[in-house]
Amino acid sequence: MKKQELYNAWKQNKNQIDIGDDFADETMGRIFDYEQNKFSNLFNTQRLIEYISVHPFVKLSLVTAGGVAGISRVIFTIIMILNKGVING
Amino acid sequence: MTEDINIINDVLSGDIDAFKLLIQRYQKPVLSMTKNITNDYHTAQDIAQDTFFAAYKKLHTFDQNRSSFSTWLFTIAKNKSINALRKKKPIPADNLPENIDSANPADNLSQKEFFNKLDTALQRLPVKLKTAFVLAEFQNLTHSEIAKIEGAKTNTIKTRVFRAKEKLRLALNKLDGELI
Repeated sequence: MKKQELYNAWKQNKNQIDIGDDFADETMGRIFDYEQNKFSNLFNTQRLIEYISVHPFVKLSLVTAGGVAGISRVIFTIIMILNKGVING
Repeated sequence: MTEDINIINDVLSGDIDAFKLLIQRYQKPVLSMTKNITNDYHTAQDIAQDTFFAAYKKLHTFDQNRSSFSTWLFTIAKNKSINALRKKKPIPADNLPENIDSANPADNLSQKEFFNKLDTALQRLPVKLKTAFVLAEFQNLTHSEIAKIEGAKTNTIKTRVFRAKEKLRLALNKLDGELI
């Protein structure tokens, strides 16, 4: 056999693949399980992260809330320091 | 045959069972691709299942104006395969299952050796060259389709496939005199 024929045979060989009869059913089973448990266990950490990651508005809201909380804390600290300065001074 | 987009719309409308049609339609190319990238059948099967599961969960984000469903699916499969490759140590090419059909045992031996050398050379390719080569040569995707999957320019993909072939050719040249 020539190299080119062998190369073609190799390519053909690499494309031959056995798929179990139950591959599609197993995957569908996983999907049905997911659908059943979708909302029942939202406060499971992994599901919560998954939920947040596929909903951009939830992600944006959480980031915004975190940012607002952080800035508020900084402002609050500054006010406290200034007030202390006024009282002591 | 029902168009992919019609099936997708059915699934998104609540007909979950319709997704099985998409699995049956693409299970072979997805599994073949993941196997050729990871070089391990069982890992490839897990990745293929994860790919369909992830595709189902993110189906609402699929945009037919940006790519075909198969390109979108291959992108998920390729990313998962590369992640798996990063986690796993490479498997020796000797462990590859063979499927050689030859009447002549001497021929068979040469062919086996040839296949093993190519398999080893393929697995030694840098990941980007390997995925481009697998998608072009085994999945028969066009360079522009691969470019979409890889998020690269078409010319970059052409270069990657060319370089992958060059490396394989180099590996084969080392076999000169040993074959047949």
